[in-house]
Amino acid sequence: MKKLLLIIIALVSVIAGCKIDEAGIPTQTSNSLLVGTWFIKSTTSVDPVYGASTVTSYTALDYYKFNSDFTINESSSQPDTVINSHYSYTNDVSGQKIVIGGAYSGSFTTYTVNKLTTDSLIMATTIVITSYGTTTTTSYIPLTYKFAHQ
Amino acid sequence: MVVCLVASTARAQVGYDYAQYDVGFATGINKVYGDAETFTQTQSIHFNLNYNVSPFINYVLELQLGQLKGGDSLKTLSGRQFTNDFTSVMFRGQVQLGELVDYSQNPMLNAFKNLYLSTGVGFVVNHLTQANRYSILMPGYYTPGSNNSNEILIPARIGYEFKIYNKFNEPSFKVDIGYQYNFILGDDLDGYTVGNKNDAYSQITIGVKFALGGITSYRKLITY
Repeated sequence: MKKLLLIIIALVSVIAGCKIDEAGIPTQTSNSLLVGTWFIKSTTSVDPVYGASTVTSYTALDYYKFNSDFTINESSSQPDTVINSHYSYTNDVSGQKIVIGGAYSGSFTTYTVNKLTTDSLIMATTIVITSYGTTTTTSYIPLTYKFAHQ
Repeated sequence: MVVCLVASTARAQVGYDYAQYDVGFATGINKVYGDAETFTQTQSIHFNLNYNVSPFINYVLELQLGQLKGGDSLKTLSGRQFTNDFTSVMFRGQVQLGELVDYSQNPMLNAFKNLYLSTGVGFVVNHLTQANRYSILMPGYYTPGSNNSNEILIPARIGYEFKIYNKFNEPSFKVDIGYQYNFILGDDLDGYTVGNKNDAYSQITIGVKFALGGITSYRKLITY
């Protein structure tokens, strides 16, 4: 009887100790330098056919606002819209990266951070453009954003 | 005279006889302990065949069908949310307290004689009909895993089997209430392979069993 009770207690203890696998739960990395409103000052794209071009005609409505709760407000002047989504930030041996989410799960854009200081943010991504015709061609166009707080 | 002999023999077995074979079904409330960050309770149905070595030692072959769910793609950082239309088959050995103690002299032991522990081995067939792998709150975060898999499981069960006796004092109908924890020897029950622990699912079940036949006698009086 005592042995059975011990077995029951052991069984209940083992079962009560079971829970979700917390080792597999991701954690967010933050960088206080990133938090705030970053106005787009210029974008530079490098087309494999037409070469590099830089756009600087951005207004006060063109900005990325990184919030401390890992939400982001992406504002655009043309069209005049604000898209609210989430971002994640990582900094490891491969460098600093920012991933900004799209409208649905699995839709996101990854940016490589080339510079992040108190007053300057430079990050780059690659745009993929697929042209459909007699043959389907895919172009990879590097795009670099330069931001400032003012 | 023959009639008197038969009647005498029958009277001698009253309270000692039991059926060696039972068939039963049950329903369970399930919860997955895996890689998703929130729990969702789901239902399952179970069918079982029982071979009773004695009224208190049972071998159970069980088929379980149901859904397992968990996670929340909108509110959790990992974004994991899954639905598993699972099928599992398991074989369990079950020992009730009545086999180990003399319950004839002790009302407390008599009350607890149907309390049992059970374990065995089985396998679960996982068919994920939903598995959100990309996080929304943490863009770019992806959890890999399999949508279809088979895994071995080790059930551990504690329960109580209410025995309902017929007019011959044989336990012909049983109500079985139990808590079962199924240790999965793998990490794909929820469709996510991540972390360092295997998955598991727990069940609170209630079911009934009906005696099929194979009447034989036990060494002790079953009922008091």
